[in-house]
Amino acid sequence: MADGIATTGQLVEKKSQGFNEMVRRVWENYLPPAVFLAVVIVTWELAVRLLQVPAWLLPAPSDIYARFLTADTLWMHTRLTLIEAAVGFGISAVLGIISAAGIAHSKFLERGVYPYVIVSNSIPIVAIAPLLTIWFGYGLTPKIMIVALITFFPIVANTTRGLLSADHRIIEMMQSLNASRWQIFSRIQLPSALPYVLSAFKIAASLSLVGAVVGEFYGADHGLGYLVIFSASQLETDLLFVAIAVLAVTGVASFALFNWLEQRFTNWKA
Amino acid sequence: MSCVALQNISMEYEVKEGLFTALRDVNIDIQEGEFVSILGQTGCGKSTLLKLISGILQPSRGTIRIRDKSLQEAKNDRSFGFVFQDPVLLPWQSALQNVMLPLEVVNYPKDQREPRARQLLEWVGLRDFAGYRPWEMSGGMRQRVSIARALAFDPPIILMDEPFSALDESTRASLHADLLRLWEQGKKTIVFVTHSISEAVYLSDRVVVMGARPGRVKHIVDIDLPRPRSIELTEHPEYLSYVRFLRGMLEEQREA
Repeated sequence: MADGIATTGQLVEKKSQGFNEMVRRVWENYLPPAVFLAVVIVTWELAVRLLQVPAWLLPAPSDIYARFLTADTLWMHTRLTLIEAAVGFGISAVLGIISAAGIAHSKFLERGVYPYVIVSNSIPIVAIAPLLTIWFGYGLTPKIMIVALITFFPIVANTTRGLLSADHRIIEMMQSLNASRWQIFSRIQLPSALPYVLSAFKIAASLSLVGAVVGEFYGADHGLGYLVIFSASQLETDLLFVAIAVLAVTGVASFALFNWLEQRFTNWKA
Repeated sequence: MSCVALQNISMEYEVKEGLFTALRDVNIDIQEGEFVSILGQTGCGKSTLLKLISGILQPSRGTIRIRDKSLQEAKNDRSFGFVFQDPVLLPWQSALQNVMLPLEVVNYPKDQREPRARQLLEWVGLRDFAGYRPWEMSGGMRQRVSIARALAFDPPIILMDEPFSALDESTRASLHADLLRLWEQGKKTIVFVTHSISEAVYLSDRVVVMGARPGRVKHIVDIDLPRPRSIELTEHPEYLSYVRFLRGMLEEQREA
């Protein structure tokens, strides 16, 4: 019985230690940026009010927040942009990984395809966007294609590098056992590439939002990119700030998601 | 019976300055169940020799027969287990899964893979560590996993490329003991590449001394010491005279 009590006491102690540890981590990691943000917002608010800056030039944070609360079409625009970004990203991920597998396995494909992968990365995406609008009209298709194009390069390049990073000795060992190419690919190369793929996804997640917004600049009547262009042209600067803030939050959230996945599934990298 | 027979093996590479000879006229005949060390300094082509035996590289000239068969047939028979200088384990898999990998490749009966892998881990002294990932284990434990993996599908020939050179003294000693025990039980043929003279003498039936530039066989020395061997042997005068003899041979070529 005494043992039982002792154990419980230890458990409680451990738990409270865990809690303290969590508090300490939150304190150390999140407090400094939060303080910094608060200082910036308060300064901004005070400056706008004291200097009487016109709202079309720089709205106060409180005005932006008020506009955020009343912007009832905001969710519709956000959803559309997210769909474009996600679908384009998904297409790019599938095609990118397949292409990388091809490039990593065949010298011919490496020489034949890789130069064009680089070219696709070199042409500024803003220059291609109007062309895609001419070809595919005003719907979702051109935006999705822009997202796929802009995210393609980092995915192909990183995945290829990851596939080739597999230890050649273990591949030779597999070959000496007459392992099939598929066995070597699926059991050795693909898992070796996973950390590279996930770090590419982190980059591609941010890029996919850029792609979707740029796509919406040309011929769109919905989406956050459209909202940016529209509010700027009407000098509704508070709405412009709302759109920018939503983009920032989504960008950070998607980055955080892939960052978490990376740590969750590649803890063996450490 | 001859197990690994190398006849007049030469190996040349094209380099910028012309033809580089990695190996010249190598003749080695390793018997079934023999423990043979290949001893030499860096650059004498001893690792190349292992790659030739396992068919990863093709010799420029000469023939290799494995148990009187061609290399391709030997490969189809799954004749070789490998142990490298680093353990080269898959870091995302447990010790058990790493040992099961070759069993999967050779299509070992599905329901026997796990019992077989567990038995091997027990042989190398890792019974309680089956679920550990490589990065949770010490260097010596990782190398034990890689030995278990090499033995997994019971290949007749084990090729070891300086497997203990990265380990500390006492870990190495305990792995030596375990390797000898497994070899004496399993009747495997072991080809063991090393640059450590004492290791070669302690473990082997025969030591092939290689010379460098070009890589060639300088001498093949029978190690006529009693078995089973234990750590006390290393104080035995005969053991010491073998070590001295081999050291002399390696130094003589350094001066040349």
